[in-house]
Amino acid sequence: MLQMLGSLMILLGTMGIGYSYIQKEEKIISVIENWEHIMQMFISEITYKKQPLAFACYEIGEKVGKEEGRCLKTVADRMQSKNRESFWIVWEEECRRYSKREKLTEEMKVNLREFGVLTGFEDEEIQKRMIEVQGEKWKSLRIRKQKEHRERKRLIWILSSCMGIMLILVLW
Amino acid sequence: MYQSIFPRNNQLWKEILANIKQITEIRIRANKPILIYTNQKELSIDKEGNLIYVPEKGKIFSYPELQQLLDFWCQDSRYAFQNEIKRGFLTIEGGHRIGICGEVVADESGNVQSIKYISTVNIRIAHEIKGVADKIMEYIFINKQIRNTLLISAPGAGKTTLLRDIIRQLSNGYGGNRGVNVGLVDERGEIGACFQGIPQLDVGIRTDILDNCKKAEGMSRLLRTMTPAVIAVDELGSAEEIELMQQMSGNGCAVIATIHGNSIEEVKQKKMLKEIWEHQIFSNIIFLFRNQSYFCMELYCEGEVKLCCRC
Repeated sequence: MLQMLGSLMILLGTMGIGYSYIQKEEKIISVIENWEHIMQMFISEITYKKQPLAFACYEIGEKVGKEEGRCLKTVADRMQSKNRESFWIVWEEECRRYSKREKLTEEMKVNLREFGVLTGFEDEEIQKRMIEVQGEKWKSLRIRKQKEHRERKRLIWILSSCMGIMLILVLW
Repeated sequence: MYQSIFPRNNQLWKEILANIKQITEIRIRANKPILIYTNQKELSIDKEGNLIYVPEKGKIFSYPELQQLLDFWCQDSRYAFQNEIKRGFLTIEGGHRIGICGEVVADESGNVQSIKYISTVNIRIAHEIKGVADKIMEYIFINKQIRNTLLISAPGAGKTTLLRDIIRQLSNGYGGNRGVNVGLVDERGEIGACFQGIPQLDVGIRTDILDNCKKAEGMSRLLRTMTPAVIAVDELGSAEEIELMQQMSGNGCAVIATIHGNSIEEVKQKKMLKEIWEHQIFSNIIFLFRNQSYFCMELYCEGEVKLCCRC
């Protein structure tokens, strides 16, 4: 009886490890989806309100909330503090802090940094197009991650169960 | 009010910001010394930002430095100020107006599309003067009724400042009377000096502003949706605007407007404005003029001179 209970606990434990790994991946995909959505909101802010980027960051930050919203609002606050700081420098610094907090992948960090560099255009259409390009990058990253995640999820469940069973057999 | 004119973390602007209340204009031209104007003097700054009285020896402002200032005013988002750059001026937080000169980019019909190589900026510092309308309010607001009033003057004589104060007093209330809803069509953004839709200058607590809107369109919108007791516009000119004003008078909505002119007779000669005189739309006509260093006004109420004073 005790043996069976112990075996069950071992199995649940290994499957729990697998589950937490799956959750981490899902969180990353959720963050990518947020940024994809944020890019679309930037385009909307520019198209319909002709907002400067600092104000757009504030408005989007308010709507999005969470850590992404906090990052955007910090950028907005620094830009509106009347010190002469370039948008792309402020963006890069705040995104670096945000990346550390959220433990982003390298590819996500590169995507985030690139946004700051692709700003400052005089023409609205070109500025929108640059943001659209960033949005497309986030979208293709999301699609790829989701595909990988679907394939890996099954594998993770199988591996974690197998590991549990092997541990049980070894201990028995 | 003055924090948005120059970057706070740059020592070059410190002394200018410390004396900003005395300054009326700052002109920055690429590869030329900065020129600073007060009511009486022309000044400049040296390399450390100290004010100097010999403008020719002032700090030479380079083209890249000027572009950095423009980026500061546009918050690194010049695309968002395309229309303003096309019109030739930016309005920044605090109501200060920055005029722009450079090389115009025009289309085939000669219409201005943009300005490139911006090489000159003229920063007009917004200063509010409250109370300039104190002496005339009793002629505008009589027996709880607002009389249609026309302000006439040449440029620089103070009609926009006077109009702003009239709007403020009507909106906040005058002489123990409760304020009224005022609709303001601020086509060029000079009266309320709106920034992001919020007036930077005090136009009263009951004033609704349509910023950057054509006057005729704006007047119709305000009448339809904001139930104003009075509508104020700056620089009347077109037949459409005058026709609307006649309709408004018939609907019980008062009008306060301004017009360019060196004298009342000159204004009467203008073709488009003859209807105003023929139909006697305005009960009060105020003529503003500059006498040496003073601003003066004459108020005509129903054809008679009622007041003649210094502002």
